[in-house]
Amino acid sequence: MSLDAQSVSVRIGSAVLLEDVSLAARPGEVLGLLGPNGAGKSTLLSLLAGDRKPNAGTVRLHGREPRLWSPESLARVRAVMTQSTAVAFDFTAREIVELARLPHAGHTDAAEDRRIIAAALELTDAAHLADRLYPSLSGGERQRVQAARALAQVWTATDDAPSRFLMLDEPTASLDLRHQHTLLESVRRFVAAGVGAIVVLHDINLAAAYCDRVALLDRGHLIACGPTRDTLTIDTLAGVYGISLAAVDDGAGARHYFVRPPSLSLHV
Amino acid sequence: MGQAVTASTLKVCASRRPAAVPVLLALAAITGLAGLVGLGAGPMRIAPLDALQALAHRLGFAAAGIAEQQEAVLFAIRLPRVLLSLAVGAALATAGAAMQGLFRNPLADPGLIGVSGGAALAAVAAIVLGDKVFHLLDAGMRPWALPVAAFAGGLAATDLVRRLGLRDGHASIATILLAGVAINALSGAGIGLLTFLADEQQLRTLVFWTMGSLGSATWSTLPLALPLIILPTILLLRSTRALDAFALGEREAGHLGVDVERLKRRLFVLVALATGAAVSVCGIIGFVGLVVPHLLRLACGPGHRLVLPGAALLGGALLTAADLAARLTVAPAELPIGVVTALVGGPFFLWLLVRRLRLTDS
Repeated sequence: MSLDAQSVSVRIGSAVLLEDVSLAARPGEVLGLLGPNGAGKSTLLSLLAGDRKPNAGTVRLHGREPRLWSPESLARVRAVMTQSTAVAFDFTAREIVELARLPHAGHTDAAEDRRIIAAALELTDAAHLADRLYPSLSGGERQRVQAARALAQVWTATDDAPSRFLMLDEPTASLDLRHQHTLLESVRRFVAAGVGAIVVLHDINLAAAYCDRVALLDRGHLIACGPTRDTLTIDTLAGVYGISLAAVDDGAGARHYFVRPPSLSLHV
Repeated sequence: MGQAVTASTLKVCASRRPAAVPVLLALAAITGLAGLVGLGAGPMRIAPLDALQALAHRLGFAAAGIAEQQEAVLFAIRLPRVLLSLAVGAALATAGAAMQGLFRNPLADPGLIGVSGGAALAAVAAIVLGDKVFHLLDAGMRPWALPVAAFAGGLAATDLVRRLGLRDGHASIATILLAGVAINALSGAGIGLLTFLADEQQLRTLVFWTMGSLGSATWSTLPLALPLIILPTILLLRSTRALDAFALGEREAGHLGVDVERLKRRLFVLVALATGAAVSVCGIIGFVGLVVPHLLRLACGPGHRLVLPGAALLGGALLTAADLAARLTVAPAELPIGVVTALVGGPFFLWLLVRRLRLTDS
């Protein structure tokens, strides 16, 4: 296992954010983190990213706790896209993506960095925004630039570790339909190249289409974790989200979920 | 539709960012020129080229070109003053740029972390209450009492602000900001009280100190003051890329391999040292730390690789120019330099605020 959390718990005061959660992310697959608001998805992601230490349990990246890595080599091995897309000062979109190469200073040459930055902007369909001032971009455009930054950070293999990880916290939140899919397609391309991806998602259909495995969280507990189709069952989802769903297999191997509006299912 | 370029899309595109090296070379030239003009201007005029030749002569590169009397004024009075204005301007502007990067706010100022307030309180206390203590000191030490008290006061206030902002080894920027405001208010109250207690002579000294002056520049104080001002300023220049990453947010900078807590600690200490040393020699000089980084961001973009060293150069040049104005406008008397920087910086700051409001409205 290259990135695993073992019985991790996080408490702030008397509030329990995560309780005894164990899960592993593997290179070459997309792991989806799903669950209602406040389930602990972002907290779990911040543990895996090494932002914070669990109150109990351990997180290991390639066998070592994240805080035992030097910050720079950790940054060459894992990239994180948080939900925060605010940037101070009038940087251009390209300058934001250039920051992704910061931990690689001295490891790659400038021409290589420029190539990676241009390619990453291209991949998230943000190349035409490169010279725009970041604060002037729309929410979805900013998210594409931030996604390009995360991708550019783990673009190539590194000597620091056998595999890289990409951690994305609701990367599709402000994206239009087409860009939701192109972004997750890009993530799949990285995964095909041996990167491990951990993606927080709210859209069950996106999870069904792009995740190899999913972990369902609810109020700090891991409810289920396993291959996407086996885990996203109607019953489990109904239990976690408190909403009634239906699923249809389209015959081409994909499963689609439909939500029944609560007003129809709650027998008011 | 995608091809349509409207006025508004043009406005939001960055004009091509200038390359760092030519900009810094040009700024260095401006700073050198400001220094030469500063050396030459005054009751006894010395042409900038003559001043340059005299400097070269002193260093052993050229023949003597100016009269002995001119040379005496140049080296005994003007040179220490120009060196001090270059160093203090560089320190205040660089510290300002670093603070703005740290607080992720273009309106931040080195004074925010309490260093100027604490230094001012200690200096005023030394002026008003010092007579009762300083007569115990050796006569040779007395000129040092005020700057040493101010320096210590600045560092103590900054340390207090930092301790208030610490939680579980994590420095909270928002708490530091609020603690800084509170400490500055307390310093203001203390200064008010001491002002009330001061006699006529003390009031004069006190007012001059709180409005800033480079008049204290002499060869006896410079050898200690200059390194204390310049060294932390130079060390600040090494955090440029980390400050760029900091613009994304603290967590995000951490994800890019920046040791965030270490960066905050480092910037805090260096800004306190640079500002504290500058303020303790020259008193309170406002707006340099605010306006200079702004000018650079407007002209060259927000990248700290250019903004930090550029601020050091431009800050030195502008403070030297401000000192020139302070010395010449009401000669033979002298305006407090803080008044000059506030007169120029204040309206500029207002213009920036109005401009920002307009940009966010549209």
